[in-house]
Amino acid sequence: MTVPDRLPEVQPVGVRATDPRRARRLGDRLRRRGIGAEYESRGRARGVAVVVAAGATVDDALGVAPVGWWFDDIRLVLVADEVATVATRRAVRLGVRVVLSAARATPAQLVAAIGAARDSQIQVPAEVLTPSTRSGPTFTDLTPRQTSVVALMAEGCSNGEVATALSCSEHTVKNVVYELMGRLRARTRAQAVAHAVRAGLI
Amino acid sequence: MDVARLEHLDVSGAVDPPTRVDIEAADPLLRAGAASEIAGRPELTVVAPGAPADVVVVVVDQVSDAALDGVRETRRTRHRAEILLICPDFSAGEALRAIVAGVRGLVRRGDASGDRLARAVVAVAGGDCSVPPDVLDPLLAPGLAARSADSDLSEREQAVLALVARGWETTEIARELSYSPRTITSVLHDVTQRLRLRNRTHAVAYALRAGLL
Repeated sequence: MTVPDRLPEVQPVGVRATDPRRARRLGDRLRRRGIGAEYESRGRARGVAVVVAAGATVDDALGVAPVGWWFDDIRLVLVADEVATVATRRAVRLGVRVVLSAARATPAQLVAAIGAARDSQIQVPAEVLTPSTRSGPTFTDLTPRQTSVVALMAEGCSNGEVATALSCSEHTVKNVVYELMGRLRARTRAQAVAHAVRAGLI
Repeated sequence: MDVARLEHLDVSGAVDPPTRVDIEAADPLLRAGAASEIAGRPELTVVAPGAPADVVVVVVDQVSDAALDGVRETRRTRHRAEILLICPDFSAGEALRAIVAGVRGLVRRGDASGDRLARAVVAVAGGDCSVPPDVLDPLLAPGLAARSADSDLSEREQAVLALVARGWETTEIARELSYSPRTITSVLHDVTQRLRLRNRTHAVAYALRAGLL
């Protein structure tokens, strides 16, 4: 069961969502980029190669996908407000090509995602592939500067290298590192990095 | 919602600011080739080498140690950019290693038609990972893959790194594991040398991202 290599450039895309407003919003964004949206009723979707299914969670979105989508070789793009790692991995194992975070589903991103789905390229939020803690201490969010510093520490940078990368003084970096130790409740740089990676902050 | 209707095409003028792309390639011909695929697309703009960029496209021959060293160096010096790797071919294991080193997307060079390359750039700029489906398995469960194959870390190394990750210092770790402090330092040194990492902090980040801790 194959889909032809070269699909016509502008083909309508199926849109399914858990509620009409969500569907309309998606359709509007697609229309802005010259892609027609087809709002099918529940049941099999005929005549479209790609369906964008949207919901609050990945499982909700999957729930409104056309019946038998995998059988009809429909390429699925899921758009979810909240993209949980486990649900995303499960969806991809089921054959979903693309999972997009709704917050980042701009018209440009949607067009790229639809193209990726047609093309059999897999696309998922990066957070899904980095391990993050399921339980354990929760931290308040880091400031952008703190995030940059701990991210660079995680790449093996010394304070001096962090300062160069961020165009600030080593003194400033040391201050931020001190803040980070407090925020991340860490005794050492390595522990700070571990907490940040596990919390999905970097 | 039982009506099937076709929305008519209507292209509006609204555009997001173009994604800035830099291309790092071994030779100018490769760079020019990649640049030409990207040029002419309104959503992307190729910047001068080294200029601030949202995405750095790295073109390599294989996912070698040298290639990954380059990726890690780019992560240190251009930390605001996401990296897209173009390579003639790569295995699932190599893709995992590339992702752990900081790559956000991989495209096979033969497949890197303009459209596919541009789409991967947009995806990666947006905070997503973009990979071919055949390299998916280890990425979905990196810990399992690493542990079932020859793991990159010995049990002793894992034990030491686990304590480093918990904020323990060398002498404390030595006492806990009944080794000398020199042994602990030596174990950590071996890990960083073998995996081409900078220091124990770098090693902890690597082990976590590779699902080994």
